[in-house]
Parts: sequence; C-alpha cells; structure tokens
Amino acid sequence: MSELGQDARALVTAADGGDDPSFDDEARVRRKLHARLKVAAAVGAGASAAAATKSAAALTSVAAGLGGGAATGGTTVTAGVSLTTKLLLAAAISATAAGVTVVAVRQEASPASSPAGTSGTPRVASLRATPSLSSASANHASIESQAPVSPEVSAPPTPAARAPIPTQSESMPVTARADRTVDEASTTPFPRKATTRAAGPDRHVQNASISPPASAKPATVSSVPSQVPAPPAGPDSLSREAALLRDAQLALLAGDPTGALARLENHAVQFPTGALVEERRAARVLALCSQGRVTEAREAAQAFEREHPRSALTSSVRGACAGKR
Amino acid sequence: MGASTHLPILVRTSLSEPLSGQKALPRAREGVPTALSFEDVYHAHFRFVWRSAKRLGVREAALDDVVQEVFVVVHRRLAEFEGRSTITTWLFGITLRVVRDHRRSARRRDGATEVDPDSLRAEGRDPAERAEKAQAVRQLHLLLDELNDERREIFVMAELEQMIMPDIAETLGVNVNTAYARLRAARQEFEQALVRYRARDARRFK
Repeated sequence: MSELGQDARALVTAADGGDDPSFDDEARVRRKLHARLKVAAAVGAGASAAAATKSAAALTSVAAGLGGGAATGGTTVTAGVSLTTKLLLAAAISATAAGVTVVAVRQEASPASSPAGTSGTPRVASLRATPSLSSASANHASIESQAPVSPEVSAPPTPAARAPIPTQSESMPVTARADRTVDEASTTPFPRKATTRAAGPDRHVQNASISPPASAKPATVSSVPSQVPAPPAGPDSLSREAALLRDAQLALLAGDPTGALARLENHAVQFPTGALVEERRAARVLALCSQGRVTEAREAAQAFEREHPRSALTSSVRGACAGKR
Repeated sequence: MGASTHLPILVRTSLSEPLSGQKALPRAREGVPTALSFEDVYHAHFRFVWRSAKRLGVREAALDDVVQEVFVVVHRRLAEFEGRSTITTWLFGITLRVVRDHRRSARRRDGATEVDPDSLRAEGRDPAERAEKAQAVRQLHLLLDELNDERREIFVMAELEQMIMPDIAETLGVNVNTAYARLRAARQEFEQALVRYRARDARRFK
C-alpha cells in the first residue's frame, strides 16, 4: 500500500507534539473530573440525582449571572457540573479583576422531600460579594438568587435582587460538597466504587431536571457522609492557585523565567500542599532550564520523577533541559 | 436505573463486547502497572486522550467536557479492561465513541465550526520554534477538517497515533481490508487537501 507522501509526512512530523495539552489543561480537567466524580459519589450516597442536577444547574446560573451573563448558553446539560466549576472559577476570577472579592459561594439545596419538591423547590444560592474601592457595581450586595432549574436563565447580579439569606436548617450538603471538591481537587483519590452506581451527571441523568427519574427519592440528611459547611470566607484558593500558575506559565512563555520562578515561589509559599503542587514543580523545572540553571533543573527534575512517578508531566520534565549543557 | 443505561449505546455495546483477536502484550509496552488504577491511566494517558479528541475534530470550547466524559467512562469501565488490546487502543475506542456522540449533538447545535485559534498554541522554548510548530498544527488541523469523519478517524489513528492496522480495524469495527482501503483514501484526500492548501497559500503570498 502506498505510504503517506513526503510533504504530508513532513507536516505531520512538524506538528507532532504541538497539540498536546498544557499543564493548565491537565490540571483543569482533573479538577473538573474530581468534582464530577465526587458529585456522582454524593448522588450514590443517597441524594437524589435530580437534586444534584438541579443544584448544579442552579449554581451554574448563579455563576453565570455573576460572570456578567457569560453563560455560554451552549452549555449542554451534560456539562452541568463541570461547567459549574468552570464558571465558578471564571466568575471568581472576573469578579476579582473587577475589584470584587468573592467571599464565599455557597449553595444550599433543600432535600427533595416530596415528589413535588423534587421539581418545584427552587434551589437557593447565596453569593456574597464585598466591594473594594474600584468596584462600581457591587454595593455591599448580598446577591440572592432564586436560581431556576434551567441554566439559560441567569440570575441577575443586581442589588435589587436582595433578599434575606435563606436559613434552611435541613439543607443538604450536596452542593456544598461540590464546592469543596474544587478545593480538594487532586489531592483526593477518585471515589471509585461510588461512581459505578452513580451513572451520575451524565446527560441522561441530567435530563432528570426536566422529569425526575424514578430514583429521585427523598434524600435523608443522615445518608450524606460528611456535612461540611461552605468554605470559610476568602477567595477561592484553587482559583488563586490556578491564577498563580497561569501567570508563571505566561511569564515562561514570554521568555521571563525569572518572573515565572518568582510566581512559582509565591505559589510554593502560599500553597505548600496545594492542589497544583505537581504542576508547580514541573513548571519550575522548565523555568530553571530556561534560565540556564541546568544542574538545578536536573536535580529538580529527578526529584519530580521520584515524587510523581506516574505523572503525565514526566516526559516534559525529563526533556526540559534537552540540548543544554 | 442502572448505571449502564445512561451510556450512549455505542459505548455500551462496544465495551460489553470483548475485544478480540489480540494477544496480551500491551501493559508492558505501555509501561502501565499490572493493576491499573484510574489514577495511573489518567496520568499516563491524559495527553493521549486530549490530543486524540482534538485531532478527531473536537473544538477547544468543548474539549474539556469531551475529555472529561471519556474519563468518566474509563472510570466506570476500567475493571472491564482485560488487557487484550493495548490500553491506548482501548482508550482510543472510548474517545472515538464519545467524540462521535459529541459530534452528532454539536452538529445539531451549531453546524460546522471554525478552528479556534486558541487551540493552536504550542509549547517550546524558542519563540520561533513555537510559532513554527503552531503553524504546522494549524495546518494539520485544517487539513483534517477537510476529511470526512470516517477518513479523519482512520488517518488520526494510523498516521498520527501510529496505531497498528489490526487495532485500528477492531476499534472501528471493520475488517482489515476495509480499513486499509479507507486509509488509502484518507491519505489521498489528505494529500490533495495539502496541495490545495499550499496553492492557496502561494497565491496569497505572491
């Protein structure tokens, strides 16, 4: 059989490796996957699939609202959970950029205690933003939204939407968990067993938000293993981690390894055991190489391989100083 | 409702059928420990899945979700992986099915899409080298876009991922002869597309 022609072959070779994911890509998808598998686990633990779905949708819409209606409506419902994470991050970042500090994103979903409740109870999300000097829009706003099920409808982040913060004593931590997973990110092992049951947030279950499936039975609070309140006030640490690493990477790409190293160091100080330690270490090796500190880079690379023997970043790390003496 | 009922039909059927015809050589070759954990697979093959999904035509905006979907399926099905095909073949099979599924819904939603320039960054130390690589990737993806799905798939498997023909045929569910014929057609079309691309390019820079 004829082989591929020379020109075509050359192109394929030239492009080789050029469409690999970046550190950010890997870390981001891993986070989402963790979040998703965790939510699936929560569903398996007794929460109804419908509740999880809807709270995800609600959270999504809140995040979308905060993000300035950046609700890329094209959100397939499948993406419910992952999108939530993504939008939350995006929202947090854009809010920070606008001078607004997202203090806490908290969501409380009441258990689907009756069949009607399953589809009728609005999931309430509260989101507080404290303004800083430059903030024009948020005005000590306690943005309160009765988030609808449909992700297309975004909650308007207007002060007018102010309402008392809900205190639902029996609120179910399913969504608090969703938040938490963002923080725990890669440090937690994937909950393997749980997900076998929880076909979870894949699109068929997601459809449950329209018509609750038979499995949507009342969830009992006791069936949810750990009831953890929303994370303490403070910007989402994961997005700060991600932002630091992104900055470092941008600096590196811009040919500024010193700046990159400074940011990585900053990350190391702030998040010694953060979710993105592996990414930080890998990036550090690359930065050291690019600064010409080859010996140090090699040592760091070896340490990296020791500590993360199965890392997908190993090959980049290993080849980082190739050709340098 | 059992978990499996939520899987797309293609995935369900393909995965419940044992992969046939291959000897167990794979794990050693892939350097994956015998007891495959999900983390192992994720770490070792994230790049592969990501890259494959992209080459199969998933746009940047949807890439995260598609890749995630692949690993959700992997997570669910890993216990069924018996090492009768290589792990990469198995992963590619899942990726392919998720991508096809995505393609169908994406087409319904928004029709054909453009290559997203953001998806075409490339890594490298030297800016010139980086730009060159990015350009090559851009070109490659444009050419891949000109192939129909069937040809694109086999081209990616054979020419970009260097999978062996029996694996390819099996993954696609066709016999080896059919696969060869399809690959031949795909190569031809790719080369013609390249010629056209170069011609257009030459005119533009005259």
